[in-house]
Amino acid sequence: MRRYLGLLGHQLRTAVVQAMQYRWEFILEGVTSIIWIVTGLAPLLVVYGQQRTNAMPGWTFEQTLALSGWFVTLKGFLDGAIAPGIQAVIGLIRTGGLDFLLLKPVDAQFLVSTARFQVWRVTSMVSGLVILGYSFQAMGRWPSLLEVGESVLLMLAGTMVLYSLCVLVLSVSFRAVRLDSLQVVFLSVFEAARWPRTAFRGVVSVLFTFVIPLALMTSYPTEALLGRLEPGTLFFSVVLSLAFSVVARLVWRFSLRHYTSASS
Amino acid sequence: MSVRGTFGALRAQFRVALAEALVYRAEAVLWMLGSHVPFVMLIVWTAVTQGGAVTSASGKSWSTEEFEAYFLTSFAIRQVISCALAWPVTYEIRAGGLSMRLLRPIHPLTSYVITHLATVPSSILSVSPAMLVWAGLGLGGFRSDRWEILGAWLLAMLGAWIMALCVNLIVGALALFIESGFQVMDLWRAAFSVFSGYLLPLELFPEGLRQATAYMPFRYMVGLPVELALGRYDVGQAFTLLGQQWLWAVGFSMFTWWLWRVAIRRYGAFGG
Repeated sequence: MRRYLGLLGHQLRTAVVQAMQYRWEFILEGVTSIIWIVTGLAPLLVVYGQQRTNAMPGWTFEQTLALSGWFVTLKGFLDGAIAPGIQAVIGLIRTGGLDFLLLKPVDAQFLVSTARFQVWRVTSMVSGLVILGYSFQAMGRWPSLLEVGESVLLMLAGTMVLYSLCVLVLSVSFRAVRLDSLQVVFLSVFEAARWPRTAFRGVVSVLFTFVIPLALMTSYPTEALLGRLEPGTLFFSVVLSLAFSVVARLVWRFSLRHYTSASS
Repeated sequence: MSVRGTFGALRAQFRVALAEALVYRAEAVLWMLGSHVPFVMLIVWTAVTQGGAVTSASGKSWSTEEFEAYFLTSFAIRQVISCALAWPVTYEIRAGGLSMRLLRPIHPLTSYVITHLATVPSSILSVSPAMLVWAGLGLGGFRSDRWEILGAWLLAMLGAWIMALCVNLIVGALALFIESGFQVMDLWRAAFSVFSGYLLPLELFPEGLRQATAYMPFRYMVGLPVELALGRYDVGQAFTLLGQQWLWAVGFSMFTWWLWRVAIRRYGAFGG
């Protein structure tokens, strides 16, 4: 464990040094991230415009804003810590460079997960927390310690599910050529997580609760902070995240066992 | 090269580009699925209209059916006019591949236009089945019975296509001037997502902001073709807006041409 933590620290330091080599690009990327966050809030402002205080069933503007803040934070983590590594490894699979990665005396899943980081996405995570804080101030209520604890636990569960889904996407790349656009599809689907789960009904609701559990990633943690998490949801979420992690690990190992190098 | 030879070369290039566009069919379908944001917004607005129709600042009422028609049409139109040339053009310039294009008797811009033109048939092919089903169900598709509006719509689609292509070529040319051409593209895409009508109908904006979008190029790339397809305008209004769009399209085209002339003059090959 200490060895892997040390390796993670080394990867992060390398990413920071690489980012600081091009300072202007670093600053521009941060500014661009903030602009994207602002444009992402525009639909929310329009939906809740004209004094429609409960435009989304069961969610006021401030509550949906809190969910948006949570989404922005999680997306910052996805874009900065998970997606870059996945994208880099998809390219390695196609070119055969993955062989060199597999030769290293470290767990391959760890290496592909920490292959690359985009440090400037920290601005997104900080911005998301700022939006979250502003929304609670606007609500005039702050979450209790227990609610924060539940939310953090759900956040970890949601992050595990998100990571597991990315690993599953990566595992598909072993079989399919030029399907790195599958990652684009996943990232696009993830955009739906910026809206409350009550917006989705019928088949879509089942899809976004059990198959691609977006509700677990954003709605449940926000509901925990709002103090209205339904009984059993926490247990269900933790079990679901563990199940996803196990499945992702098994699929990854299966894909690796059947990987035939692109080189000699 | 003779005129006949030039047309022969362009036709050959088109056929090659078309074959390339069709060979990775699975990837083409995935790219289409990656543009499903209109469906997400449709779901969101359907939830909103459970509490009653939404009324815009101009007094128009938007029901669930109105949103269905809007976003389904928006999705289809976006598939046909979208362009992603900025990335391959930028990478080609950075790797020195532009040198080979400059050696050919066909201008690089012409090559890029032909390459992008070849993607249109596959885009129309991929989206047509869904559009036919939606139109059959009365959910989306062309809603006006005036042939003048149909003509205006076709020209609007062409104008939007030209504008999207020019934006990508401009960003591609920036690779010869600055390190961060992709940042410019990112900023454009951020503004486009809000002000084009792709994420949400411009009619739902506050009145001042809605009027401001008339002076921006974004609405003419998605919003105008969608609104024409849904029969929002009479013939006079349609052609007035079409004229405004084509002013932008011609302006973009002239700027693209000029920028590439300047860019090629300062081009020095590097890389492999």
